[in-house]
Amino acid sequence: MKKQSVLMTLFGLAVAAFLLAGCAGVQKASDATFKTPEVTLSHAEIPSYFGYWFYNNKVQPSLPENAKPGNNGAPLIYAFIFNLKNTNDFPVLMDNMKFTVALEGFELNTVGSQDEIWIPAGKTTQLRVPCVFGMFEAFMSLGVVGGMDLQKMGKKPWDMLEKWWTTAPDFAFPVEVRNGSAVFKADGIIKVAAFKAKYP
Amino acid sequence: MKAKALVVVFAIVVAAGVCSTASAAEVVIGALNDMTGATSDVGKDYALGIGEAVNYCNDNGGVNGKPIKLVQFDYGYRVPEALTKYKLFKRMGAVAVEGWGTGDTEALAPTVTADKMPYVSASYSGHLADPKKTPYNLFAATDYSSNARATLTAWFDKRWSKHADFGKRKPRFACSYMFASPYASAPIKAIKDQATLLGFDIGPDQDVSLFAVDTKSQVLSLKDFKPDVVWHGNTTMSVSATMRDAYALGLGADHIMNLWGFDENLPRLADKAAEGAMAATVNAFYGENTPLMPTVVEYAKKFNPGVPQEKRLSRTVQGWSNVLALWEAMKRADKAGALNGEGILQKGFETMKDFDLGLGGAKLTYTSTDHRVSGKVPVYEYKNGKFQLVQVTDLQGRWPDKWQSWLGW
Repeated sequence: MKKQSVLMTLFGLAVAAFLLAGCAGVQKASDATFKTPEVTLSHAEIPSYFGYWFYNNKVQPSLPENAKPGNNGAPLIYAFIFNLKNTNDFPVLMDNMKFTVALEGFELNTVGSQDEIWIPAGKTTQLRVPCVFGMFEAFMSLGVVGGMDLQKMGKKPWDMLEKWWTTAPDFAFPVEVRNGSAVFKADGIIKVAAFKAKYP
Repeated sequence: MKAKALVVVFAIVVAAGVCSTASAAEVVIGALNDMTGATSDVGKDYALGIGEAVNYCNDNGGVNGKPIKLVQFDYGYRVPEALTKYKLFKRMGAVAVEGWGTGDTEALAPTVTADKMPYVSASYSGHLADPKKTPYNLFAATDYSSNARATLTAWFDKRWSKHADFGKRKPRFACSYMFASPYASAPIKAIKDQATLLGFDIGPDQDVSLFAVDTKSQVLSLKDFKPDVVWHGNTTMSVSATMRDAYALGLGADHIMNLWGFDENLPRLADKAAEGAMAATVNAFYGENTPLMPTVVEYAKKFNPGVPQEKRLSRTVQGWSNVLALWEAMKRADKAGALNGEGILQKGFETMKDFDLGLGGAKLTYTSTDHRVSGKVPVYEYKNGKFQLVQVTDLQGRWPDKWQSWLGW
């Protein structure tokens, strides 16, 4: 009985020591030792495709009865798959990342991830960031923000939307990731990685 | 035996506790931003400013030691999406929301009132400044209606007094804006009231779409009236297009505008036609000399190094202003033991008197009967390639008998 209780005490203390070691045993980050992880675009995908269609707010929806009409179109969905490479000897937390997506130079969408992602020491983690282009939102953005550039090109917003929505699955034009920043944390130290990429 | 078992359990609990002390209680705030829709050109910069400012707040103690967790979403300038995201913020336990446009902010106003959720928007619509109607709507800026009144008054003071026809006839004034846009139409009633007060002749309104790149027909209509000054209520692109057409067609009027049509992109798009344009900007331009501006620039470089500095706009500073005001309100509410919607409003915002954010805007005063932050409105002009302060129009001081009656419209 006595032996059993001694063993139990030792076991408990060992568990406690292990937990504490878990906190203190890992190498600590400092401003000097914390190398900013690298963010690179592995590739982009069209994970789901809904075609090219649009109906304006004068068209009554079939269902439900008395539904309010709106400006609705097929969404264009991209997914961006990034490699997050941690070259440090300690795990690093990616707190958030954001970037702007440009189609043929028109910055249409700024997206990112706010999910906390741990990257083990010396490892690379992949992160998939979905990016949904609403057709009417893209139309508004092109018209209001990019109107003068379109005018110089002799194009209308719908010319561009039709091209993008119909040829995106073939990656007939490159999609650009711009102004990217990813915030990494380790032991209270913050490092920010800037990134940009074009695919394909 | 029992005692030893307790020691073991205690040791494990203590050890586990030591490991978990890193995550203190967080204060969640939501942010609704337009990074994809019709206002994404300015919305993105504003959103970056929100994120950078929250990092600054956390680096300076958060809310009295509690870190702020920012949950930031794009809603594409779509009201239904804004409502959906607002519900998500509530589920995540947000104590306040940083909002965006006039349409969605006005649509959400009854909901945030019922929920007692402080909603700090980038819509500075005068309709949102009356606590009797929208007690939980706030912003750290002078409102559109006050700005419009102040800008027209500044033009009257500075330009009309030097005009060759001054004293010989009434000045002529007209408005150019998208009638269907809640943002663009918000201050029209107020600026026409101010024009009447100052003795202007008011010409016919011109309906100019936010999409407009060719506004010649509207400019030609304006030419019939021969305005001395035109108010532009839209955003930068269509304002620039109208100013360029006015320049090309020799309209001969000065241009004043709402703040979302007046930023660093205006001279890039309107070129020579931008010279002399005037607006109330609600805060300093990005990089301008104010006490906190070096910090704003430092955080922009640190947290968004991929965004070139020359692309940053005064919208960054507007984002900072709204975050810093909310931060101050939350700290005050927390100190009073009331870090909740009602506390943030009453023990936070409504205790601020002449609170200076250090960003060149008006000092903030909120009361339980008036959420207009100030009656003193700084008005800028674009002159010789620079944005410069023209005057601070003291609406409240100049029209003390009317000031209260202007609340809420």
